[in-house]
Formats: sequence, C-alpha cells, structure tokens
Amino acid sequence: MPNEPPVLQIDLASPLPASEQIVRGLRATLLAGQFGPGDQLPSVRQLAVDLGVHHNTVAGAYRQLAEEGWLELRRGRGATVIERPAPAPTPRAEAEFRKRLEELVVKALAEGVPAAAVSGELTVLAAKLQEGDLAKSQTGSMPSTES
Amino acid sequence: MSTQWVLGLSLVMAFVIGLCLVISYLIPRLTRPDVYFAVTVPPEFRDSAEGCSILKRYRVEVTIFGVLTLLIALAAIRISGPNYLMVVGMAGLFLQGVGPFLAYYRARGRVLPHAAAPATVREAALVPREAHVPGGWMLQFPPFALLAATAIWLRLHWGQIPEVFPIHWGANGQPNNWATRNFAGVYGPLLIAAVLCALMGFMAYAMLRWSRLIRVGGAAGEGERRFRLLVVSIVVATEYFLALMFTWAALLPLSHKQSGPPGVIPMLVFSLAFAVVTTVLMIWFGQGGTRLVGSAGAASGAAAPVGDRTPDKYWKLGLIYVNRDDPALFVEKRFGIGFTLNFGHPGAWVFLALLVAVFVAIIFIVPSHHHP
Repeated sequence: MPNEPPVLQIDLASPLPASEQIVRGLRATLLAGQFGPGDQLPSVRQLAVDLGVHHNTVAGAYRQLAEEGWLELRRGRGATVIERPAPAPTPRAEAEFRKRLEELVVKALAEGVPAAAVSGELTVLAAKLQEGDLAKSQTGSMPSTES
Repeated sequence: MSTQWVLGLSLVMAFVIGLCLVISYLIPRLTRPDVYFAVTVPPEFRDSAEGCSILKRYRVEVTIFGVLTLLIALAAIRISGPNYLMVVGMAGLFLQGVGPFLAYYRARGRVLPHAAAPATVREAALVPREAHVPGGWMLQFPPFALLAATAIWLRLHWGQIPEVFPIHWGANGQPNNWATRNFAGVYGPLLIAAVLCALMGFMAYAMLRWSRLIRVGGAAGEGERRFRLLVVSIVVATEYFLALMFTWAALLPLSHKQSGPPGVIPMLVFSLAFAVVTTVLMIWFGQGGTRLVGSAGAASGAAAPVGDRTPDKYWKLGLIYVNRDDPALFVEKRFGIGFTLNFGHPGAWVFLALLVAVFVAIIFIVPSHHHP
C-alpha cells in the first residue's frame, strides 16, 4: 500500500498504562521523523475512539508530549506537531542513562539471558542508532512490557 | 378479496420471507473470521468439524422456520378473512424474526465453550480522519428539497384535498385509517420524513466520525475503508428512499382513488428492489469488507490479531453492545453486517429516543382515527 499512514499500537493487556503506551508510541514516531512541523495528529476524540480508550487517556498523553515540546495543543484545532530543538544534553541525563542501561543489562544477566545475547542486542541497537532507524523500529508494534 | 390481491400479497410475502431466509442462512459466514455467532473464537474454528456442524444445524433450523413461516403466511392469505389477514400475516413475520433468533441463540450456546480470549492489541492510524459523507452537503440537499417542494405543491392544491382522506389500506385494498385536512394530516408525513432524513444524515456522519477502523493498514485496512464507504452510501441512499416514499404518501390525498393506494405496485417493486440491491452489496462485501480481501488479505497489514476490538463481556446476547468505557458511538455488528449503536454511549439513547419519537408521531399524530 503506498503512503501508509503511521500506525500506533497499544496493548490493553500490558502492565504499562495505555496513556504511557500512547506517549511512548507517539514519541517514537516523532523521533523517527514521520511527522514534520505543522502536521496534524488525530484529534483526542478520534484517537480515543480508534483505540477504544477514554478521552482523558489520550488527552493526558497529548498533554505530556506538549510539555516535552513535541506538540502544540489548541482547542478546536487538535494537536499540531511543532519544531522541537533537541535539548542540550546534561551530564546528569547522561549519567542517568548510563546507570539505567547498566541496571538493565545486569537484570537481564541475572534472569539468565546469555551475555553474548545481551551484547548482540546492544550491537544491533547501536547499529540502528547509527542508521537513524531506532525510533522507526519502535513504531507499529508497541512492546508489551517495559523496564 | 380479489384473486389479484391474494396473488400479489402471496408473492410479496414469499419474497420478503425468502429474502429474510437467505440473509439468516448466509450471515454466520459473513462475519469476521474470528467472530462466530457473536463469540470470539480462533479464526480456524469456523472451518473445523465442530464449527461446520454448528453451522449446519443452525441452517437446518433457520430453513425449517422459514418454510413454516411461508406456509403460515400463505395459508393465512388464502383462508382468513380480510379482517384477520394482517394479524395472521404479522404472526407469520414475527415467527420469521423469532425463528432465526432461536436458531442463532442455540448455535451461540454451542460456540461459547470454544470462546477464545479477545485480542488486546489496538491500532490506530496517526492521521486526522476525513469524515466526509459521500457527495458532501450537496447530496444531502435533494431529499429535503423534494419534501419542501411537495409541501409547496400541497399548499397550492389545498382545495383539492378532501376534508377526510384515507392514509392506510387493508390487505383487501379497502381504506382502514383516515386523516383530516389539517396541518398534521397533510404536512405530517413530510415533517416526519424530514426528521428521518436528518437522522439518517446524522447517522452517516456519525458512522464516519465515531466508529473505529479495526484494521488500518494493508489490504484489510483498504477493504474496511471501502466497506465503511458502502455502509454510509447505503444510509445516504436510504435518505433518498425515505424522501421518495413519504412524498408519495403525502401526495395520496390528491388522488381520489378509494380502492387502494395509487401507485402501490411501482412503490412496492421499488422498495423490494432497494432491499435486494442493498442485501446483495452487503453480502458481497462481508462484515468489515472481509470478503473483499479474503483470508490472505485479512491477515495482511499489522501483526495484531484481527477481532472486532469489542470485548465479549460488553455484548448482551452477542447483539447489543453496552460499554461505557468505549467512546465509539457505532461499532461493527457481531452477527450481521454493518454497524450497531454502543448503548453505553449517551448519544445512542438520544438517537434511539428520536427514532422512537418519529414512530410515535407516525402512529398518533398523522391519523385522525376519524371514520368518514
């Protein structure tokens, strides 16, 4: 199918709240550059109907993305994607990322995932990051569990 | 009762009952692959030995009821007097409604032990949905223009309308209900038609705006979009159909023919043709356009399970959907083709109340119940 629209998926059986799944899915889509500044997202009502969740769930997700600087919300005009300058990395954010990544690796090893498999996954991830495909790979199929 | 009337009525009855029978017979195979007799099942279940056996029994029962109904209706037409004809005829049609329901209920009971957990994955296209009714507002205008023109015509010919005129005829062709030449009696049918057309227009818009696409990508998504367009187009066509029917009814007082409503045969043929064309199109598409894309197409697109995204526990008897947590006003029927209201949505009750109000108006406001 030519020009297939980006698809957002959520899993109602996931322990992750639907609102958080929407935030992560949309953020990944935005990171992947599938929307440009000025593009319109579905209205809160439409996305709520399509996903079968309460309006407040979608409205909360949109608000969070607006607070992060991805979207502009205007009554009657829905959610518009805006230009978001990449925030300057802070040493604290980098340290936090390093710490969480290490924790995740240690947790995986403790749960019996072979070190080679963990290393392989990190290599794949690094390659995707280099190619700019990391965000793209996260849209269209939401993970059912998150660390 | 003339032989012509008996023959005509028998043919119409046989046709209506036959059409109902064909629809009831085919419906179980027209739903989504993983919804069988309104129960979520594994997609392969309907083709399993048990699935086929349930379908066979259902079809045998539906056919028996259909043939019984036909015999009762035809016997009623032949042997009962004109006073009881409609009562017995209605009883026959009632049986035609109850019979398939009982067969469905029994089949559903047999499917329930095979129920599978409904899909929990939902997907949505991240683009604003266009909720344009086919033809736009330009196509919404003609039915109302026709009704307004008829009202003007009746006003101009007010003097030719009898003080009391028939508005309903019995099966024997004799009038059995009358209306008086006043605002309600003359313009009532047109006003009712205008409200009905407005409701149909709203329904078309609401189906586009407040119902969900279950599949958004691949051939399945495309089939679903075409199906939705078909259903909405049929709703718009129904607006035209209603405007024509009520215009015909509103012009009846200008006819002085007393032996039967003038032009009844062409209108009947037109109505039946409309029902047949609509039915054939719906069968051709299948629920959600699933028959357009076939099983391979249905599996295309995203990897998420198909389903209809409405949990089983919110369906009453598999026919009535009540889910307060679902913001959709219209959802796909589980047993049948097209959409049904979500009675957990306040808008559904407003819509239903308006529809009931229209039928109350038809029964109580227009007729004067005055016998000339």
